[in-house]
Parts: sequence; C-alpha cells; structure tokens
Amino acid sequence: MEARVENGARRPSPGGVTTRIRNIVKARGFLSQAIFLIVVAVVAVVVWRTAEENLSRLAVKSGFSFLLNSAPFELGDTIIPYRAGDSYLRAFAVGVLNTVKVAVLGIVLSTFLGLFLALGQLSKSPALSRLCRGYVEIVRNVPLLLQLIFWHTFLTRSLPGVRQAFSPFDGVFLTNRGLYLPFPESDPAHVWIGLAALVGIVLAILVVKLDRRALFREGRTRPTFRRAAAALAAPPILMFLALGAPLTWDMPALKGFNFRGGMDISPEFAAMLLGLTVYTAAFNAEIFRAGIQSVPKGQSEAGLALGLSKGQVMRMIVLPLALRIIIPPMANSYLNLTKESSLAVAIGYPEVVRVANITLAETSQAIECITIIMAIYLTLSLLTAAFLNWVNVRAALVER
Amino acid sequence: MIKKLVIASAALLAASTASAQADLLDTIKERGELICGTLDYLPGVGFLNDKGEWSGFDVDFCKAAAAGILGDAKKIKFVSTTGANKFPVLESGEIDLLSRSVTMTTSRETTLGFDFIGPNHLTGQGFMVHAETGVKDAKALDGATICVLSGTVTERYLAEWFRANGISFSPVAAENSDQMFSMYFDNRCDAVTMEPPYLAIRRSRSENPGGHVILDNIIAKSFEAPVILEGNPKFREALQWIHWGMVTAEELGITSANVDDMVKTSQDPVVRRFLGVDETIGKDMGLPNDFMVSVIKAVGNYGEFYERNLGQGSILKVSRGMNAPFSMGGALTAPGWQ
Repeated sequence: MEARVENGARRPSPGGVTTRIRNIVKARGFLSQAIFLIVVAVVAVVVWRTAEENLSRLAVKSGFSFLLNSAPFELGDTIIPYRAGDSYLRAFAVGVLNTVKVAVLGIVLSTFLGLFLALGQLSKSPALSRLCRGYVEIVRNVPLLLQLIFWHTFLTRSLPGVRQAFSPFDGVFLTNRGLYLPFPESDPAHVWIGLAALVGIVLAILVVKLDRRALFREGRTRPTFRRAAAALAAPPILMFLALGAPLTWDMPALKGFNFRGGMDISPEFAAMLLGLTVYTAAFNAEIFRAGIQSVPKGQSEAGLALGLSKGQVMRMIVLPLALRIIIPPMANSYLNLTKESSLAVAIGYPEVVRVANITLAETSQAIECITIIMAIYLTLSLLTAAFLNWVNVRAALVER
Repeated sequence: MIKKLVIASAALLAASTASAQADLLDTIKERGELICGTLDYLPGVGFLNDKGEWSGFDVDFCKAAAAGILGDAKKIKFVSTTGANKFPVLESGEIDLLSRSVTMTTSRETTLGFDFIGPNHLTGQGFMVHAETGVKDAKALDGATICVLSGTVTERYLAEWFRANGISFSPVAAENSDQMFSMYFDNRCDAVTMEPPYLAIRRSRSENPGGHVILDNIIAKSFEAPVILEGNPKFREALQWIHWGMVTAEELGITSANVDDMVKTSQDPVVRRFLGVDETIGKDMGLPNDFMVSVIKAVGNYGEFYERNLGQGSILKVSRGMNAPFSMGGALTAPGWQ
C-alpha cells in the first residue's frame, strides 16, 4: 500500500497513464490472440465439416472401428505373429515394430560408424583421413531413396538363389531371399539365464560406480572396462553352465520353396538397415567431427601434459566436452533417420507406412490411415527427442 | 434463370431423344467408317508398330466389327486411349466402340450408362512361376515367396485365395510392376501374380522366356469386354452377334482358310444359314447378309483370333484356358444361329 503511494508520488501524473496504456496494450494483445484463436477454430471446423460432408457423400465410413476388422493381406517380415485375417490393429503393430526395429538398429550402427569416420578424418594418416572424407562426400550427396534401391537391387541381384545358397558354415545360408542363421530353441532354463544377465548388468553398473569413487577418492585408476565386462558376462555364463548348457539350435533347412527354421534377415530389411546406416553415418561423422574440433586444443594438450595417453585424452577429456555440441544436432539426425525409414515403402519392407498404404487401399479410410501414421511418427519422434533431451541435460550438468 | 434452365434441359432432352433415334449402327454405315478406341502399347493386346500397323486382340475386335458392319476391315479409324480417358472419349461420342480390355463389372454396366459386348476375354488374377520349381498348379505353392503389386486388390485376392486353400505364402510387395517383375526374374520370388496376358508380355521380353510357366489357375475373375454407349440397340446387337459368330464359327469348324469353300460347297443347313447363303439373318439385323463371312475373312474364328494375338501364334503364348467354346473345354458360349 505504502509502496504504491510512494510509487505514484514519484510519477508526474498520479492516475497512472502508463498503467492505462499498459492495460490497453494488454487488451489489444489479448484481443488479437483471441481473434487468431477464433480464426483457427473456424478454419478447423470448416475443414472438419467439409471432410465429413464429402465423406458421407462418397459413402465412406469414418472412425477407427475398422481397426478391429480382419485385415485381408499378408505382410512377410513380422516380429510378432501375424497372418491375413488378424485385425488391422495387429497389422499396424507389426508395422510399428518393424519401423522401431530398423530405426533403433540404424541409430546405433550409424552412430558407431559415424564416430569411426570422424576419428578417421581427424587421423594423421593421409590415406585413412582421405578415405573417410571421400566416404562422407560421396554418401551424403546421393539421395537416400536411390541408395535404398541400390542396396535392395544389389542384394537381390548379386546374391545366389535359394537352391544355390552360399553356406560358409553349417546352418548359415546366404541367398537373395535373405540370410538364414541358426537360432537357439527356447527352453524354460532361458528365463534363469535372463535373470542372471540382469544381475550381471547391476553388477557391471556397481563396478563402474566403485571404480569411479576409487578414482576420485584415492586417485587410483583401475581397468574399469575389463572389470565391468567380466561382471556383465560372468553371471549368465555361470548360470548357463550350472544348468547343464541347455542349448539346442534351430537350424534353417531348405523345405519346399524356402528355408524354414532358424532366424532370417530379409533382403528388404538388410537393404533398409544398410541404406539408413551408411547414409546417416555420413552426417553423424560430420557432427562428431565438428564437436571434436570445437574442443580447444589446449584441453588435449593439458591432458597430454598430465601424462594421459592419447586414447585417454580422447575418451576422458575431448569427447565429454565435445558431447555438449554433438548431442543437439545428433538428436536431429536420429529423428531424421526414424522418419526416413518410411522410404522403406519403395522396397517393400513392411513398416508402418506400407501397412497404412495397403489398409488405405482396402478400407478407403484415408484420413484415419494418415492420422495414424502421423500420430505414430510424432510419438516416435517425441520419445527420441525426450530421451536425447535427458542425455543432453546430463551432459550439460557437468558444466560449472 | 429458371427459364434458361428449362430451355437448356429441353434442348438436352431433344438432343438425347434424337440420338436415341439415330442408332450408332446407322451413323456408322452412313459415315462409312468405324471409330474404334483401343490401346497402342501392349503387343498382343493393342499395339501400333513403327510402320503404323495396328495389331492385337482388342484391335482385331475393331477390325471384326468394321468387317461385319461395313464389309471391310480397313474402314476404321483407330483412336489411342489411356486408362484415364477411355470412358470420357466414349461418353463424348468421340469413338463408337471402346475395345480396350475393359473389365466388365456390375457397377460399370448398370450405373455408368454403358453396354458391354461379350465378354470376349475371360481372364483374372493368375501366377507365373519359374519352370525349375516344377509347379503346375497354384495349390502346390505352399510356403512360396510371391511378388505382388503393393496397394492393389491383387494383394487381397492373393491372401484370400491362400487362406481359402489352407496354405501359406510370404509376400514381397513391389511399388510398381517394373520393380515387381525385376524381383521375380532375379529369383527373389518363386511366383508373381497378375493377369496372365500381362505376365505373358513380361515373359516374352525376359532373357529366357522358356524358363517361366504361367499357371492355369485364375484366383479372381476379370472378364474383359468391348464397351459402347447405352441406347444403341442395333449397334449392340450387331457387335454381340459378331462376337457370338466368331465363337460359333470355331464350333462349326469354319476358319479364315476354308470359309470361301464352305460358302460354295457346304450342304449343312446350319453352316449355310450362318454364312448367309440361305435365309436373311444378316439382312434382318441391318447388316450385309454374309457379314460373318467378312468377319471370318478379316480376323478368323474365335480360336484363330485368340491364338494369333495372345496364344501359341503370338509372342505371349498364353494358354486358352476358359477362352474356348464350351464344347471344346472352355467357358465361351454362343446361342443358336436361327
């Protein structure tokens, strides 16, 4: 109260012209936003009603109830069991899982390949650095779609047919219909081995934490990587041996037209993974290189002066600093990779867009199908972004 | 405004009744030329070669029509049509007859204002397999990998047929037919599914046409027929009986080679009536009395017509399957010629 009086006394006109002006500006701002919202709402309603009207005129059903109807098509590459006659919902689930499979593997592989290419470009060896540079320049300048078609044609055309399968080892067959590998048959004992593996993960984390504490408290370095790897691998291996090595391989064998049994990697999936990895790695390499080169030289020189090896300098000083610059553009790169997996439709890999296309052809429910695709990509992108934001925050926290 | 509308609709009504009175058959006879819409890029079906000569199954039906109606298979003007413009050019009256492998369906016949002749080509969704697989019947394709065109009804029919027969397959979906056939020829698939004539065209262009077999199984119907506008009963009857006449000629053993002898020497009253030697069937239809003689001389009986364009005499080598008279194991029928 007092403050206000004091405040008013200082101003030339105590009624508060400025307050009034501020109010007017505020009101105008509010009004313009309200008008904008109304316009958006009207447009949305008009679009909605027009679509509704046209759809009812064309006697096209709307709504998502078709998802429970049975889908009259086969999909091929499926992670969960699916057959024609299952619901459209299940078909979409197959598509989403295939998208996720290729995106996750693509992200992991393209990151490692990208890191390798970046380090290669920065290496002192002229041959290696030029080779890596050349890779980046060639690969990132050829459209991804062409690369996908190239890989697919390459795999289906250059690999031998099913009856002439190339078999380097017993039970491994390479054909232009896919790579067939032995796969362990499921056994009830595997649950225990899985639990042991979880124990291994916990142990490995513990080892890392203990070693880090030892480093900070006592200044002692320990061979953390080896110790953690041992902690990770020992429990499942011991459990496996303790249970009497319960392992029988399901071997692929030629039955009729195709190999049956074991596990197979289709040329469509392989082409997709190769294409996405090779292409995205070129961009990731540039992101890594930019990040690494942005770390001032003094930092690594200081590390070397402290007696760290070159590898230690890279691992413990340069990369952690570079990471802050790398993560945001890397997030973009991962999002791009996920979205670009939709190009799989060109080579017939049954990911979510292919499922949506064929559902659209069957049901004519275009708006619903496209809405589903958009929602799925939005969800995948937001999840990826959320994860990377979390990583980013963790990397940035180190800053003081 | 309303007045104008009334006048306009009255004019339209008058125009339509006028055209209903002038049957296209009379218009064509007056003009002395049949305008036939067909296609120019599919050898064996409808093809225009570099010498400007038209050939193919659909083209030959145009020739049969011109021969039957005008007595001369050369009195035709061909118009190339596309999948998209085929119905508009027919509706606008730019062509008299559309002979372009149009699939006859209920809705096209009953709601689009068209009349279908025949159908004169009974086909559907079939399979081509690598000869080395030894498959003779599609039911032996259990476990096979099959190339299919993505987003088309063929995907549905394929899955439905396999389910109905209790066997399984794994699909490889292609974006377009070039990609689909290239995968099939690279042995990515054991079989490829499409209409047999199109399979045959691809087979004829492949490196080793003998290495591929088109199975006789038809898993979904596609009956193709020439099309005309509704409201031309005389024209429709003429074309329908020309089609039936070609089938009848095969049943009677009349060919382009022996038709002249048959006219002179046959004592069979059925043959004599059919060829217009006796009675006045042709004349009563508004056609030359010996119209079937002209048709057979121009394109042959149905068997010759089929074999030359799609069958063993062609590059496509599609087996006849249903496309033979019922009396010879096919599914084509023709009413009695009386």
